[in-house]
Amino acid sequence: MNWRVIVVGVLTAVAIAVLYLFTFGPLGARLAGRKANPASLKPSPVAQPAADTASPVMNRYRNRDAKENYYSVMLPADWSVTAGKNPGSYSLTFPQGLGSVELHDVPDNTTLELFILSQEEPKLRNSVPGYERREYRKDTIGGSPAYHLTYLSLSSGDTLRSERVYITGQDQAGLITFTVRKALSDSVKRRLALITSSFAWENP
Amino acid sequence: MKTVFLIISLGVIGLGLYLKFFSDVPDSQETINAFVSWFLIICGISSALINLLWTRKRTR
Repeated sequence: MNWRVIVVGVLTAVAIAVLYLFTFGPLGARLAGRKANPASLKPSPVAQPAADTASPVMNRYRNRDAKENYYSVMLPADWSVTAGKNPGSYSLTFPQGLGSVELHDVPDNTTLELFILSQEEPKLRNSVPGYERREYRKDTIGGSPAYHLTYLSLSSGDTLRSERVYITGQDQAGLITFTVRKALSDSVKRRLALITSSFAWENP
Repeated sequence: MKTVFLIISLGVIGLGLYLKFFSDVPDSQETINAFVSWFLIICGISSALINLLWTRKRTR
């Protein structure tokens, strides 16, 4: 066999081994650099009108984790806000339930609405026990088209109410989720509406 | 035969480049997409090189 062919074969084997180590092995873990920006977790208080004592005190979070997907959102000051699992996300904990604000990948060959109806909702229907759609509506949040999907589900005998709000973005979509007990006080409903309406993209 | 092998090798490189730069995959599948596309590019280039460098010994 030609010695040059052997050299090419050996180099190919080495290249594939290095590729494997970078993709699935320890080399790649060191280079996987998408991390949350610490500035994204620094809240800035939102000025509240002196006369308005009924509104909750809100903090504004400016997320700077993912380029082309900068956004800001207001979250109640008395809720627990931590960095979510993925960059660009927040995990919310409050006495009545759980929530999150995150970025959601949408393939380029579809629209956000089609993606929700053809992929997201069927996935929920198959994975969430007792899934029952209650509402689906479109509106605009911060100038971007948004889609609200509200559904009921069952968890250890309790009925839970979940709301998913998808906000169209130039790269990824914004996704705000809440899961709460079915019977909610007006003050909590008001907070959820405030959070949802405060979402705004801040791309330069 | 050599030409057919070369065309197949170039096709494999083209498929790898398409997957790497033009195919849109969900974020959760980006890692496997990158691995498969680079794998195809490396295999395509090496098989094209082997094809070009291969010389058969003349036996008489």
